[in-house]
Amino acid sequence: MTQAESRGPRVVLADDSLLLREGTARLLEEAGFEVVGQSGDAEDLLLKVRSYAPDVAIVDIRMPPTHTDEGLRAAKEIRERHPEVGVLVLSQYVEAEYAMELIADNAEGVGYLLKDRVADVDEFTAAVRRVADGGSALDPTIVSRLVGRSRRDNPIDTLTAREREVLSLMAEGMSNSAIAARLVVTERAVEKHVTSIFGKLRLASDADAHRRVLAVLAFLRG
Amino acid sequence: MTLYRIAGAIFGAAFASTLVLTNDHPATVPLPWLIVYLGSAFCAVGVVAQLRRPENATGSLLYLVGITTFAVLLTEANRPALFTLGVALGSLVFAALVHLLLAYPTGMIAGRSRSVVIAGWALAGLGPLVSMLFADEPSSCRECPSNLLAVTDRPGVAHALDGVTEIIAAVLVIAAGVLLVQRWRRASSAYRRSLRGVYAAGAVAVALLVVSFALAPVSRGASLAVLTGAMLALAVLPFAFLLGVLRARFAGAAAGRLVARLGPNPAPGQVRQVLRDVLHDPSLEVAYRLPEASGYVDIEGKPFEPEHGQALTYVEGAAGPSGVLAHDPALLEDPQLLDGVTAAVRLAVENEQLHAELRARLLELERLAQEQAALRRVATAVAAGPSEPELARVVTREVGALFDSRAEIVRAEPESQQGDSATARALRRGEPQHAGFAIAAPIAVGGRLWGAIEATRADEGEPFDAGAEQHLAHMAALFAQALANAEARSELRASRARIVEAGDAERRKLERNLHDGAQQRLVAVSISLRLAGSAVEKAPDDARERLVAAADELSAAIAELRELARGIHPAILTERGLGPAVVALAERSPIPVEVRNELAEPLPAPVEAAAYYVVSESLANVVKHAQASTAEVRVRQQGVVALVEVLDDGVGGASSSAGSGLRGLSDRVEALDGRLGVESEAGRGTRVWAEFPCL
Repeated sequence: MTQAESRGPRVVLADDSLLLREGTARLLEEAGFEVVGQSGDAEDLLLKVRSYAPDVAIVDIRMPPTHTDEGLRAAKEIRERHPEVGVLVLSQYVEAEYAMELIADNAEGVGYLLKDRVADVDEFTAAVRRVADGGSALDPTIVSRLVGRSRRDNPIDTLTAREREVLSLMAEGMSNSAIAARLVVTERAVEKHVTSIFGKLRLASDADAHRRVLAVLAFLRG
Repeated sequence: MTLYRIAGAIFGAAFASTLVLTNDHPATVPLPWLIVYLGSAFCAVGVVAQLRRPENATGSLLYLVGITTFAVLLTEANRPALFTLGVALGSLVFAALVHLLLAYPTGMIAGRSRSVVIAGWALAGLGPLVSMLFADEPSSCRECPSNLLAVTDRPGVAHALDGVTEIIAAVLVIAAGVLLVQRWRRASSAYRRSLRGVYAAGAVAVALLVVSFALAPVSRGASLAVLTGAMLALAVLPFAFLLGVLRARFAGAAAGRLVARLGPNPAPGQVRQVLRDVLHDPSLEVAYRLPEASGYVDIEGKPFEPEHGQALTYVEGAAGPSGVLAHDPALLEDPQLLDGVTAAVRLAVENEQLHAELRARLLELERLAQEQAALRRVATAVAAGPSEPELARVVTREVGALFDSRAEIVRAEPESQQGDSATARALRRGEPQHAGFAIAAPIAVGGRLWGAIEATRADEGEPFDAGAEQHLAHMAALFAQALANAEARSELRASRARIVEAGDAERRKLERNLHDGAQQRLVAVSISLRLAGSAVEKAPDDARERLVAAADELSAAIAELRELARGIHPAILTERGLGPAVVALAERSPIPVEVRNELAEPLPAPVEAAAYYVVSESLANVVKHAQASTAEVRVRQQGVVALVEVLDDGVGGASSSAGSGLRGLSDRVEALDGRLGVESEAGRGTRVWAEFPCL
């Protein structure tokens, strides 16, 4: 169905609503992804992930039989058994807990987005691509909740507005260049902000993107 | 009376002596002077006994024996009229003697003794008269004056009649002897002491009389000789009776000593000790009658129960008995002593009665105070809303202390109702029971037999007071109240928990419906619009198709949201009231539902909501389970009660306990103090009704 330009990331899609699944698949294909498999439940998803070895699996959190968190459990299993496959969970729940559970202690190739994001094609596809490339993607709503959480002696209050933006984008899983592109500043400027943030939050700065996400999230949660 | 008797006795003795002295024919009786002596002696002893114990007939009987003895001597008269009278009355002395022996010492006769005495008098009175009709004169005495009663001289017939009389007399004498022997054998040693003299002399006399009669037909001489022996034995008899009478004097003296020892103001309880000493009965107890009640109490005011086998002698006061002596039954055999003593202590007992009554009232007050305190403690415990075992512990502790017993709470199981224990009977009859060493009171909770409280005492202790079971019933009632409260509380808790759970379940359902329904659809619409947007230039047809799909999806989402909102709370109920809301339910039902709404004005909002859900749930059940062809909903208000009914013509057989739906409805209805009922006989349709108070 897609044009044979440079083959995009290979995707396996799992959602029990056929309508949504098909719609999402169309979106992804239009954006240049290759949807290699679709599943209506967790078991079939695991089978397809094993068979097709995709770059990323997009999983709805609610799937049969109980429609609670089957998708999340399947996602964790994929991460455990197929670390090379990125996993992006689509959820109705604006709960950091689920996301943290999914990420655990490894921010490589993992994402947790609210389902509504699907319709925001550019952001959605960017996130899918990031996860497929081994990056991470955390829904901005959840991040803004974490950042805006009231704390005692809140060091975040010492951050400038721009620094806070950078912190949020880091938490979402963006790289310096992506942040620079988003904020329309130079990468150098982003680096300066990052150093300042880490200093103010008394975090050890780390060049590794994954460890940086974990550190930021750990700070935000703690 | 006494003077007449003395005069009669002197006249009798003088007349008899005159007859003996002036007799010109052979003596018809042996030793006539002995007979004069006997008559005088019996008369004298009779008069003394009469003076000593006027209420006792023994004195009169002794006197009667004396007079009839004089009558025997009339046969010594020379005039035929007196002689005839003597022959006719000559046998009465024997009847009088038998009467006296059988009646001694109480002076009364009863039962078989009575029959023997009556027969004796009849025989002694009539026997000679009948015989005399056929004989000119006694066959034994040719020189005697003539028999004026003789109609015809048929000595053979007279002789035969005499024989019959003698045989009957022998039978009666034997019967009397048997009775006396029986009495002797039953008598205690003390009683025997008072009988011994009389019985010994009497027995010898009777035995000799019998032998004399037996010898009469054989040898007149021998018969007379034996008769003389009998007379001598009889000579001792008055002294024997005199001794008995003197014993009564001793009893009187004892009573006198008693009064002296008690003094004018005896200490409470002294009567008992003095009576024990005087009557030589250490087991003797004195009990006092409580004026208003029929019960007797001891000097301490405690309810009195005589020991098993004790005899009771009442102490008569001005208005009925003032007390009672419980004593060794052997004392009954010395009634004179007992009577004397009882009379002597009458005043003292009446005094002590007041004391005992006061003590009894104090004890009752004390018991009441204790009971009130115990009830108050239990009530306090009840108010704290304890668990059932905790409450049982409090109650058994209080009952145990209050009744000085071991207390237990027994559940009403079939096996606990078996047998004849106080508890089993209390459970069977539903009333408090008293069984000596055990009392029990039933516990009924909400009209249902729940169990019983029982209190038991060891057999060697004292039995429970009469009426104790009624006091136990007060405790049982309090306990039952507490149980009812606890049941109501736990039912309320359960109902609340169910309501909360039902609310949670409802929310979960709502959340899922929103997430999986409307939200999914809206996301899908969002995607469709994106796709349409991106296709609008390159593929307008594709874009149009996606827009149409998006619009359809939106409509579906809107419909779904509407239904959802309606499920949360139907707006029509709020805006238009129960009637139109029920009509709306009926219109949505797949089977025809007739609505009869007779409400004149709106019900309170909570009642309308509950009624709406009753109808909604019931109609859903009708569709799901009843296989009904039609249903009917009725809503009306009767006074302060609103009634909602849902009826169908389906298969019936539904039960109110089955199904969480009905349970939830029931909770909802009961939360408003209403009631929900289901009538659903198999094959006769189902009627679900709910009643709500609307004040």
